[in-house]
Amino acid sequence: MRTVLLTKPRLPAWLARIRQRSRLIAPVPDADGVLDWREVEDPAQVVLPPGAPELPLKKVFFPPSETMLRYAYRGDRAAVTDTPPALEPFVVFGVRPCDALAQRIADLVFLGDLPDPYYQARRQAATIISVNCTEALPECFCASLNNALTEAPGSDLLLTPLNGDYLVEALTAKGEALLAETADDPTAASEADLARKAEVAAQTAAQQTRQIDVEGLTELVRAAYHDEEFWKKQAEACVGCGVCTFLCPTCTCFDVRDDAVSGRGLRFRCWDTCQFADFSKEASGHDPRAQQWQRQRNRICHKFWYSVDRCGVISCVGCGRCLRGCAGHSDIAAAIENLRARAREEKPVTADE
Amino acid sequence: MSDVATDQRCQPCALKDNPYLPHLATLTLVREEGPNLMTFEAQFNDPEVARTFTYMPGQFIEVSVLGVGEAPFGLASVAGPHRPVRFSVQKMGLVTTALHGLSEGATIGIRGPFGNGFPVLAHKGKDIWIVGGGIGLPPLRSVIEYLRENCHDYGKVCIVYGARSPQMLCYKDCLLEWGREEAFELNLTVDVGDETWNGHEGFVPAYLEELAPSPENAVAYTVGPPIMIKFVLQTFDKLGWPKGQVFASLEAKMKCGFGKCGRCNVGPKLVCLDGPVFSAEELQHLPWI
Repeated sequence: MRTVLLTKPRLPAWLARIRQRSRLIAPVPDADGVLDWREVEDPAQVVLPPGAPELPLKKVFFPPSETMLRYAYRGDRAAVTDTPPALEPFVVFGVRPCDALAQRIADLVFLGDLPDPYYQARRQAATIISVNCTEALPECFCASLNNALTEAPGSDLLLTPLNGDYLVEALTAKGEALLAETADDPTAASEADLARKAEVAAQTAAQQTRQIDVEGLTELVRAAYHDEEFWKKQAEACVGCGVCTFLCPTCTCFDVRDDAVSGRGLRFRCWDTCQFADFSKEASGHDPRAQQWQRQRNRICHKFWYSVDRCGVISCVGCGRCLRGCAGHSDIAAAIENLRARAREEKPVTADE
Repeated sequence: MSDVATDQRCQPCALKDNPYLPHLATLTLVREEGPNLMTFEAQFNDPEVARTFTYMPGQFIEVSVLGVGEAPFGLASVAGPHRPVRFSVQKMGLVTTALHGLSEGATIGIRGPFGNGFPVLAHKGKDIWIVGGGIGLPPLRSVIEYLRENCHDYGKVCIVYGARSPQMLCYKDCLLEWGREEAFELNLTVDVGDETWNGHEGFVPAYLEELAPSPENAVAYTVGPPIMIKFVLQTFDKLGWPKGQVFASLEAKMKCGFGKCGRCNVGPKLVCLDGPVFSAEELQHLPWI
């Protein structure tokens, strides 16, 4: 795979060339100044603040709401058609490594044996260009959880800022092809450049003040499952708004609804969350997660236990959005620390301690 | 994930590779089954789907009422080319209420089959105990009729079925037929009888304990309200049945049916994908009740 250098002033021209070939999506401020994943008209619109942008990358592949089927019915006659997106290839630029990794984790749910055709169509059409972080936000904690800062799994190309240049690494054949077709006479990178990249990653990691210690974590979460008092305490400040899950780049739960008038209608899906009271409530009235603390427990158990059991990965990438968005200032890293403290208290004292 | 050795599920029959796209089907039977309970049979409109749609006992389908929505129901029939699919529906929410308003000839949508089903193929040669409560019988009918059609492959089939009242016993026509079947032993009970009832009175788990089935070369399948399942599993425990010989089918709110939408998890397991059938061995590690 190719690794090249691109001087920083040449980035806009490169993005403009990419845009000539295909749609380019990147963090662009909306009318309210919120950074959203939008189509780029002019590379100057792209904004890359420290940390992950407010809205998660998942919405590019899994829109907050999308039509799945359209149908018409009259009397005993009916017709149904599906509406999977037919997409030309597109490029997403300015993805932070945590989001790229999160998308790969979402793939484990949406793809696999029986793929979700709507998600799959977008995923196959996309080439992801990640831009490495040089600055961490106080809420970031990816370095303690994964190798996103150094390996950027889920990215097709990875750009790492090195003083006046970007180190551009092709990580997949898709990324390699995009680079070959669009880079204008780039300079080959040296071993020294790669060493500088490692330094940048280490510096960014060192800025992160929050951490989640993953050692034996799944077992600890499992062991705490029935400790009702513990989970109630963790969920004390939770108002059940669900923002932690909507902003989470790996949360992919959805609702499916019908909307029809006069014999014509559509079936759509929209983001949903285990934090909402009716999420698991059955028509009979039975609700396996009737209390808010049970819903918060489900969120944390899902990230650190259920995902590990089902997919072999922790499904928290450390982007910190759930901390940034929470009205009650809940902190998933602190909850895990409390879990460890709980385990230490529970540990029986042995003779040699 | 489900145990590979006992997983004999039929994969969803998807149109245009889109598992969300329902097959259109026409209701060929609409029958009042009991208080708030109706039974439906549907035939697929596409003859190719009608010929090839196949499933195992214990699997479920997602049924669409166009303009209203979709809900999961356990299959109550046995698969076969051009056979109608049967399911029973208790009036509960939006979709079930809309279904109750339909008549024969109405068009519905069907997706599936989903879920793992009961491991009947792995249990050839064994005695099968079927333990059902209330509206848990329709999905068990799929198993019972399957065992009837394949009776030479199995030992005796013992059915224990109960409901709150005689009126609430469903599939009464089937119960009569099964009572006459030589290879079947039918044990009925109601919580509280009335002047029409001269059979057993009492809860299903208590009746099961009285009947005291032997675990030797036997397996048990149970479907019913969660509280009944809980006590049925305890009863089998008490009777010395190994947990690997008892299987229960769970219910959960579902949307997609194949592991994407995320709402039917019981701990790390998804009822739609890893279940709905779980062994008592699996259930003891799951926070399901």
